[in-house]
Amino acid sequence: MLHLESVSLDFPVFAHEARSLKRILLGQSRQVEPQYIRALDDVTLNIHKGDRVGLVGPNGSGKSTLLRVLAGIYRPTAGRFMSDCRTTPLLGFGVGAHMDNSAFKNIRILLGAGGVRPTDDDMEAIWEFTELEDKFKYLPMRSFSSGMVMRLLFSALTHFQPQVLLLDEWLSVMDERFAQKSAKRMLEVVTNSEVLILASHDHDLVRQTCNRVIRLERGRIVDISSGAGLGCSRK
Amino acid sequence: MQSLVKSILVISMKTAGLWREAWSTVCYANLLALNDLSLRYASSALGPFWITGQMLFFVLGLGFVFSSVFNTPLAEFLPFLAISITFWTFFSGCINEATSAILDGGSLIKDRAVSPQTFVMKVYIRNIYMLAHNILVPFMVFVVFQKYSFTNFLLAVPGILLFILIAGLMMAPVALFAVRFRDFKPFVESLIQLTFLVTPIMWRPDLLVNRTYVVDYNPLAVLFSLWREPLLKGEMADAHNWVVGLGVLLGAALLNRLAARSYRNCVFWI
Repeated sequence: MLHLESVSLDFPVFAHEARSLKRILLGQSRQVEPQYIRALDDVTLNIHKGDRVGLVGPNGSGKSTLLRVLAGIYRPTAGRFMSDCRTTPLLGFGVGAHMDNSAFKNIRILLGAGGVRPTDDDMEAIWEFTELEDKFKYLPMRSFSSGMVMRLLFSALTHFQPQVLLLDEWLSVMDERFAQKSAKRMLEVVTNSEVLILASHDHDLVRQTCNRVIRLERGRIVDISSGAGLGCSRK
Repeated sequence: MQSLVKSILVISMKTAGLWREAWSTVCYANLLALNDLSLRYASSALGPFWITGQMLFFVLGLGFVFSSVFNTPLAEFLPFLAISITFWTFFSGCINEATSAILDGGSLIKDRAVSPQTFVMKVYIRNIYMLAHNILVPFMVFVVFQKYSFTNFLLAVPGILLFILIAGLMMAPVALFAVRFRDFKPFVESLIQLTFLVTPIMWRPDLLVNRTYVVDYNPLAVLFSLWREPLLKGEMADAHNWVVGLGVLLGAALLNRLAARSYRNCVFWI
């Protein structure tokens, strides 16, 4: 499904003056070319249907970058990346939501980013899951409490079953009453997806959820071990 | 034979997939553009027709003052000004707003894998919607001053389509350059202001006695003439102007293709 063959990624970092066209044209910029930081280094990885892959490692080890390469956001600067499936990256919880929009409009925008056009029935099902009152459907989201916003975002993002799910940290809702329900839904989504790739600092969570745990350091895979796999109850 | 059929099937499926993806991008860009407009005019009782109202007051105000400054009858000057300002607003909106199009969609590009092209298209579609609202102003002016002619309108259609197409093609290079060079936005804004002054939008080109090269060598003035002459005078523009217009189209398409290669890298510049 997803194959990385000796993939490296050099991330260009521009000096402040190299971002100024005026300075470059006037010859005032000494450093026009960017400096490159190796974010991924010679990564080879084959991910097949049914895999639950956990990515662990310290900050800056390349977990998020690897997820973005797998999502097709970053193109490798060396090596080959092949994919024959549609990935669904959920790398930021509230990305795309606008607080001046109504809840319903935000749902359409959030799902549209993944190429999904929800039907009216989908919209109702998403709303029902949030357990919010109907009067909030068309109110601007800035009138919601943070707990209500989280419920809505979670409900929208987990309504459709992705083929390949890429997660940067587990999605959860802290709302006391809603936490159990959301944890159950999340487990369903993860269980039913053909592939899960989860980057997290929570080693216990990764070991319980994934059947393959990959440790990254400075952009390199330093260790691959097996996890307990999905099916174990989460803490 | 079997392998040929298989190859054709594979190519057809790939092409269909690309078209489906392109259509999906257009649909999402359209959703975002409509959302932008509804948010912008949410607190207005007129809704998006506030755009039309703003344009109407602007054209009437400028028309009364400048018809007197240029000593031109209002019945001649106002239709010219209304149609010119309407399309200039579209063109300048496309170019100016392209400078922040990709940066504004940064989080969706980096975290949801939405293509940067979607956000350039969003700005283009948004400006087309605004043009559709603004066009009511010249239409009203043409009706009031009895300048309306359906034949003239039909003669102007090819020039209008060319103008709208070129504005869209120019957006990708501007948008990508603005992501790479952060001081490109004020440069574009200044250039657009200067272009407004040296292009016959507020002043009629026949008022130029000397220095006609200001119009002759200004590609934007030529693009305006391709549809404005037919619309106001019922005459097709010169063949020479059409050659220039098609040359600009070719140049814009080439620039667009060259810039489009940078779409894959621009995520690193955000």
